[in-house]
Amino acid sequence: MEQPQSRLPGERVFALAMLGLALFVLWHAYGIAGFRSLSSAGALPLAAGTVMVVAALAVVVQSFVSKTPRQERGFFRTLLPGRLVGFVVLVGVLALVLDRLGFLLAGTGFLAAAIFWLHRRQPWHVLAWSLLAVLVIYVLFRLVFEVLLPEGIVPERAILAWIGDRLRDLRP
Amino acid sequence: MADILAQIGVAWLDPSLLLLTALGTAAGVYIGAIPGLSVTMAVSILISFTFTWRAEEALALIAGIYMGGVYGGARSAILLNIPGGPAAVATALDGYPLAQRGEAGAAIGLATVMSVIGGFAGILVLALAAPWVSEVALRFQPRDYLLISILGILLVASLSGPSLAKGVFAGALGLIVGTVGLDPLTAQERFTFGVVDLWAGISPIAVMIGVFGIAEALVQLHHLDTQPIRQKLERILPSWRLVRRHLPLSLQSAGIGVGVGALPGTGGDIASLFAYDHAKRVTRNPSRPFGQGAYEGLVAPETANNAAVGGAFIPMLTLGIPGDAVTAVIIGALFIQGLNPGPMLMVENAHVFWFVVGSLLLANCCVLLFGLTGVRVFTWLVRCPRSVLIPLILLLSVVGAYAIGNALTDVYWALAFGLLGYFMKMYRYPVAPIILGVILAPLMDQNWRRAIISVRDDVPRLLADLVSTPISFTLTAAIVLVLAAKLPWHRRRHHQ
Repeated sequence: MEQPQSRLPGERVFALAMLGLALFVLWHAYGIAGFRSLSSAGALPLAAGTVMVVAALAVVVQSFVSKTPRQERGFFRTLLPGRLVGFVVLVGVLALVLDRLGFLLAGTGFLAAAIFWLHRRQPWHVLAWSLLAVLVIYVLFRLVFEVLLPEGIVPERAILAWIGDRLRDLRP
Repeated sequence: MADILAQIGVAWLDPSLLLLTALGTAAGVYIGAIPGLSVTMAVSILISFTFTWRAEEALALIAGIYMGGVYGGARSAILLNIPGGPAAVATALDGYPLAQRGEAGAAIGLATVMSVIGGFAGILVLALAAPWVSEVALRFQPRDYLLISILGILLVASLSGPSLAKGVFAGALGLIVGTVGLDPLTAQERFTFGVVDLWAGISPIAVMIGVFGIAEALVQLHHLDTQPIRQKLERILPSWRLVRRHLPLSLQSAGIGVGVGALPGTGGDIASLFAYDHAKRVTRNPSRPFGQGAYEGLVAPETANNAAVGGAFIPMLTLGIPGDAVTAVIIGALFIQGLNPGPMLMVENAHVFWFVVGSLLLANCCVLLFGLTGVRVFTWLVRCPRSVLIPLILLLSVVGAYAIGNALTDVYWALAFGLLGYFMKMYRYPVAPIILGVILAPLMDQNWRRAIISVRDDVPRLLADLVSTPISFTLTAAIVLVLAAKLPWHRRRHHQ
């Protein structure tokens, strides 16, 4: 990744958010066993939480003291452009429907939508390539390496059994 | 000796293991070469698919991907000036100018041969040193494990980014994530917020897929418009004269690579930069000025980064401490396979250690084979647009996270860590310390409690113990030195 030289928009807010997270962690770590014993279940979380707070504080101070100029482009254009937000939503939808629709349908739909959006080619062309990619992944992982993939509404086992039967019929 | 050879031979003689290593190496070479895909990303995603395999099968594939991937990064560094991974950053300095001079084929050939020499050196040192280190490690006290874990996180935190504070924050965050769930000693809930699903903790693999797979894919969305540069490739087999001329520098660089790789928390990226710096200092008459296509500037980093692979396996297999981000991911896979990396591995499962040595040797031979062939496939693959690669990475990440436990919970965790990792990467927080923290949290928790109970909660006595034996003293001194090197007054003096 190319490291931008100037301060990114939202950098200070993120540093403060991380400090907030560190304080929350420390508070919860204290809640595990307090200062009861050095060998309690809360000892390591308390130590790690303290380190997090100190480090987050140092980052906050660094970001406020630093004189590097702020990048001109806004937060959404730099950090959260529409393309990225759309992609996160698309991945979220994939995660939601993966179990229900199954890998074959959800995977093909996701790949086709994502590649069509980014690559801008003929829809049928994108769909064909997506289907091919999903089938390659399916054959490699599900059939060769026997990894369980969500089956969903596609009757995969019945289809595979039917293909198996046809192949057996073809044998002399 | 015959036993050892037989165990090494398993990796070579079992056809399915041989095929998996070769497949892994080929995949590693191309994954490492494609800008935007990294070895760590590939290993993180693929590990989730190997849970149902035998340990040997998983190790064979991983050894191949790791060895091939570290080498593969050099190809895109030479041809496109885009290092396939951090370990190939130094390679681009002289590799790309060589390609611009029309010597891309010679540069790739030389890089391949030097990578293989470095790989063999690293494996040789692993085979010779690991049994000795593991014997020394049997004398380690719990406080020594605690110290070496702190040293590992501190090293990776200080070396993987410009800000120590950000690195330390990421390492501590990883430790917190690693402690989520029921305490193994008291069954007390830690950061579960009353959610029963969190009792078993957060899967380290889901975290890895998130920060290395999803986060990296999201970052790559910013670089969609980068057009690959086309280079002409001619003969890639290097002449024996060229190899022989650079052999002494290659062997020196291999030494640097193994040494740096064996330090907990450091890896091929740091090793290759050290070796490049070494080459600049010791080469009186380089073939061309450094930075303008000097063969020496290509030989040193390429030998060192592959030598670091063998080196990185030493602390991982003998101490249970990852040598770099990839070995941190591999350690997670070993735990899932029921193997406990550490000094007892050599006692209880010595065959696993020798099998790893055999697989790495085989993978290194495959690097030579795949490195010097398949140039046409490679040139076609590197032209594969990111707009196709990114959706594929994301799909594999989601399916990989699902495959951990056939549950959507791990997918949601991977997505959450993917988003957090994306912002951390954008704001220049290193993410490798998170993984190191997650992996080392149980080890640190256990050993801190053992250490403090052994001195009956007497902190001054524990502090005195930290310098009471040569091992503890060395580790404590190393931690102090790493911290001192990052102090502002020291850095100011260094810059002056």
